[in-house]
Amino acid sequence: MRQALTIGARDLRATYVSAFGIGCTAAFAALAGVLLVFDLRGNQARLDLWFSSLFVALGLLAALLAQRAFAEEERAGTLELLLTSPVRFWQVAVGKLLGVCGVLLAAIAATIVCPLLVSSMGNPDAGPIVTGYFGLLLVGVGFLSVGLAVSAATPNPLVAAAGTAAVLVALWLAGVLAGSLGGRLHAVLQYLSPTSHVTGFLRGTIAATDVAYFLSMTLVGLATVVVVLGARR
Amino acid sequence: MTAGVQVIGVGRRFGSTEAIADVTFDVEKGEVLGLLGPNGAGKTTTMRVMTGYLRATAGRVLVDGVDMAIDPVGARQHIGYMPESAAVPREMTVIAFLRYCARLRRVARGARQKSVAAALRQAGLGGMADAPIGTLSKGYRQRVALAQALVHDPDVLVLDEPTAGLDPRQVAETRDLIAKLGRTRSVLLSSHLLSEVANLCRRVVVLDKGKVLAVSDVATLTAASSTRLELRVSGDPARVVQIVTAMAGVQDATVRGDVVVVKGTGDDLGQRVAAAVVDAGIGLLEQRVTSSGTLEEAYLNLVRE
Repeated sequence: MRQALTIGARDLRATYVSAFGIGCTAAFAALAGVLLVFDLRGNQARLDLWFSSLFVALGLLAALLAQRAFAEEERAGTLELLLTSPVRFWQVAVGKLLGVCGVLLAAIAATIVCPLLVSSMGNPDAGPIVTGYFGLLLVGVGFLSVGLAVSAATPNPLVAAAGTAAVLVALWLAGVLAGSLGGRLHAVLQYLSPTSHVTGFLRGTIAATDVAYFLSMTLVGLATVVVVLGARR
Repeated sequence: MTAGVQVIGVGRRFGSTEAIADVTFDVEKGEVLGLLGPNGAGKTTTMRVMTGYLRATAGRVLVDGVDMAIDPVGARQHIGYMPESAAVPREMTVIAFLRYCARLRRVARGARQKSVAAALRQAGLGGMADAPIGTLSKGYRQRVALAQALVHDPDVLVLDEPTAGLDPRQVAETRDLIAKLGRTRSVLLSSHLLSEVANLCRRVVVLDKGKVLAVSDVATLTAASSTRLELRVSGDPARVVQIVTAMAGVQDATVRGDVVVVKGTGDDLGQRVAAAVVDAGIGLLEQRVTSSGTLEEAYLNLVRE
């Protein structure tokens, strides 16, 4: 695990040494502010719409952050040094995830001013805010894992970002498609869609099935990174 | 001597393309082994398989007795690798990057500072420790790439074009360093500079089209390469061709204009040819050795065949 932490710390530092990390964090916080302005037009001190918009924004953030993890490093030629070091692929996968999760944490933390602002103007229910933030973290980590898997499979950062967005949109479309289908296929597609697993967080509940879904997404993403790195050899 | 690295019948395919096949050689402890070959010969693929970046589709690589296929992490712990690209993260300072590499390669916490300082000193980066890598010249970035290969004090060094892009003084310093490192470690050195390989290596591996053409002492290789003589005579050149063709060690003799070109082997070829021509009563106006027994000649002979 020490190797994974070393990789994660290095990646996190590298992201914030460049303008990219600060830009991503600032852009996510700014977007959260803009969304809040729109969502408060109903003059109600509730944040469920705001959180649901942030879940979508997380998809964009994941696509941007994950493309740097492998694709950008391969393009720069530094991935060869990492993969010829005495580290296991799972340590590389976890380390890369930790690195991008650091940025995710910073980006999410930067939005806390929004619920504080709403609290100063009204009396929003604290439960959905807490579960909303828990959901943001869980969904963010899951989306980042998907992004890492795509990033590991291509040396092109642009393709990695677009590929991540495409996979996440496909998962979202699975939910849309499920609405027009019946039977077992409906249940499968419904389960596959992240949309059906974030509603609990918006309502102030944490369901084990929703947590399990995003943890599974994270594990599948990491396992895919390990498989892809092995296959690349 | 014992082998630090053993490459045994290694092959690597990319789809239907066979990049290298049946590559076999070993790098002994206390040796700098040269890896030669034209572009596309499979040198980089061989090095990548040796360092575990690529998997061998056939054969085995043993690093200090550890099988790369069975225990890649254990095997890589013994290797310091400087890739051809020498790509190093530009956003980090030199010392931060070396500390990161030391941690990644499991250098004990207590020994880390000393290891980083030693790598900085060996690579000639003493005054550059706090400089961001992105601000360094290509030559210094090349040194950073070398320093990271040394930071965990590996038994085996795999260096792909380590002097490419360096100025003449840096080239000389790096060669001295490689020679010094090669006294106690197993060093595989790939270089297009044949003079560099001839100076540093006792043995070379010559690759072409993914196959090993020769694993040989430099001295044996150069001794077997042909000497090329150009003779200007006062008599009939065709008669000279007739005389020298019958001599031992002469591989070929032809007339080009008013010059007789003789190719053959042996240190005394020039003396013997001159004596034979004079003994035949032909005036020898001029005799020039245009190439003789160099590694370059030996290498070119091998890859042209």
